[in-house]
Amino acid sequence: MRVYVEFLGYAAEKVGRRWMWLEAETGCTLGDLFAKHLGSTIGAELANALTEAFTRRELAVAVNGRLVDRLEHVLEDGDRLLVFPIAAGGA
Amino acid sequence: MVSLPPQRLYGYTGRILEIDLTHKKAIKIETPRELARDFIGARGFGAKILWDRMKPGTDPLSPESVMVVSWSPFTGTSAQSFHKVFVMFKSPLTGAYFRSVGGGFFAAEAKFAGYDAIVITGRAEKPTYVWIRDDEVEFRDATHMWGATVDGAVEMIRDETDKEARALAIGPGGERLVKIACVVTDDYRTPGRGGSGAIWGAKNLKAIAVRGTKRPELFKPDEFGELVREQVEVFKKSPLLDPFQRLGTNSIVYQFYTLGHHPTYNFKNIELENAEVWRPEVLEKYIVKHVGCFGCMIRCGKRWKLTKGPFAGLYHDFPEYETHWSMGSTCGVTNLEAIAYANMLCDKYGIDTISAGNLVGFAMELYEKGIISEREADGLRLRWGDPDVLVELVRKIALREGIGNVLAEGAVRAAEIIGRGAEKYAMHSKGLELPAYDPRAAKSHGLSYATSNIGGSHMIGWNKYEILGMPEKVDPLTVEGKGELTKRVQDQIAAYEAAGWCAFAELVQTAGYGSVEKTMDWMARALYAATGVEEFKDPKHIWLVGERVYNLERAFNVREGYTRKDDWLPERFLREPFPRAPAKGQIFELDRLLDDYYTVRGWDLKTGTPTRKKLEELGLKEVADELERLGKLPA
Repeated sequence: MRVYVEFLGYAAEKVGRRWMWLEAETGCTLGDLFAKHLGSTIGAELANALTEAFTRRELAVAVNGRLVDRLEHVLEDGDRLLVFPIAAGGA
Repeated sequence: MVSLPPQRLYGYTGRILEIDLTHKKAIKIETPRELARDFIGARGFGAKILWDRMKPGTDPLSPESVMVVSWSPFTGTSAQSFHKVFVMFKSPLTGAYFRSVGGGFFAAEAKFAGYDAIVITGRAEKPTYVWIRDDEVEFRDATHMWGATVDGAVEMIRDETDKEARALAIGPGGERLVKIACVVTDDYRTPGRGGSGAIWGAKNLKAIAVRGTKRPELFKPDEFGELVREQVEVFKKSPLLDPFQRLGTNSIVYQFYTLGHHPTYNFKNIELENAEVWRPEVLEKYIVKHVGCFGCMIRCGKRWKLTKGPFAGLYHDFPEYETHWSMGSTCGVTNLEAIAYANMLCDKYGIDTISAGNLVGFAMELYEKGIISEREADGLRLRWGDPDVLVELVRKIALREGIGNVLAEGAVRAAEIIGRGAEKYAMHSKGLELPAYDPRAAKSHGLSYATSNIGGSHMIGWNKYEILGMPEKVDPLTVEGKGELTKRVQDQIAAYEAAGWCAFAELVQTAGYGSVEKTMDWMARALYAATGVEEFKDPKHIWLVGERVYNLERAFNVREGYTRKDDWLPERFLREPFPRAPAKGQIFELDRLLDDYYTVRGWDLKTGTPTRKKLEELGLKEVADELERLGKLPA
């Protein structure tokens, strides 16, 4: 399956790209995607850093516009991921 | 509530200044110790003083109308971000209780002048500004600056008083009694919502300027200093600090659009082409300077500079998240330069950017539906996405020109004037134009829109659980448990606003701690160290103050005739399914959510009114007695 990953803010700066398509196996979790498939594209070190930032809740991931908070989240073909530094605002 | 505060109220100045514009009198009254203990300050002071002083049915634009401008025992201390200026009044836009919050330096300066709050009453015979220098209060002629924009008036006042004076002022919008006009801080960190500027206009009050030389004395200064150091360390490790420092609220525009919280086309919420202009790396390019409020290391304010296009040369306070939405998405406009220019017009003329943009989107949908014609719109074709129409309509609203004179009345009254079914497209709650979140995409946040005592406000119940998934994630699309969540968020905000805190700083600190409880515990310890008020030691007391304030604000509205029927959202949210991901197919389940909310609040299900039991539990027996006397307390 294929998933679309879009990066914002410092995630985009670190990755050096705003978006990419990633190939993954059926049943792939968010954690697997970061560790294996993103790692093979941008390097394991950077992929690990992003995973740790997600675990520390410094980096947020939305799948099809809905926030996910677990690396165990199972992805589906055609999912659109937005990876962004957690940020807030209102006024 | 057994123990009494110590003889001396540390942290407070101990005085409230009452400005009687009719008689040009400045009266200084002692800050009641019970008021401090039971309501802390800022929003709490406003709720209590308005309840005590405003007779039900008072015309907000009459001399009898009372406005409270206040801050907190933390204001002017080293505590981070507790220096907001709170403005409480009966809104000329909605007819209900109102509180609006601004930043900048005014509150700290007024505290240094020796006051815990300013209460404004009466009506000046001619345009007036009030100049406060410590104990001296002067009523000065403002005839020569009447008609000037906010920045012009501030410049004249500083020339005539003190170059370092801090000011709140109105622009032409307030003078013309535009119902969405606001009082503006000298640095545009403005309490923008609800029509405060129209009240000043009706009172012939152009500005209040202040300089102070005193400093608040703290109960346990060393302990307080330690707590502030703890706060700074928590800020530094918070994941929210960097995004706020880099981009302010511009860090989330594109994300929130993606998450379904950034409505488009007057809440029709169809896909907006070119939404990528709100990606953070695009917005960041316009920033040329970072600015902050008094005593805040976040410095979320930014100055933008435009170098190309028809508005090249603009250098001004940036459009906040809400303004990108109101001047942008809800009008279908993606021209950032036009959004920045319209934002600047609002600041200078002194009108609320959220309501102004909402009204432009409203007018555009009326035009699309054929309810208003080009002729009725002064020859303008009110097409979605037209940046020139946006700028021209904002100007017309501020100056009450042509169709702007109709829109200047706010969405509800404008729809009545226009007729022909226009009310269906007026996106408001209790008459306050809705801001940049869709109730269908975040149910607790939407429930707060509906039940808010000030009408459709995003800040009265900004739901970090649903919107950010912090400190823990709550599914924004479910309805179960949302009554309790909404109450919890509203009460917490009321509590920390009683302490004069900034909502952004609370988010930064809570994200740093990873816990709301830790934040509230810190606040209780710091409040005690600042003031010496024994009750403040206990976080439960601080939560109780929040609930008390919220219920008292509710009681104010009940006294004015508000009931469950006013806890309402437009039909669009109740009948039209949300059209795009992630909330595709969602509607807002109003009645079910209201029943849940009233039950959790301990309010009467039929009327949405606090019961005697609830009011007495909150120490508001006299409020229950008055509502009963007026026949407005549920049996």
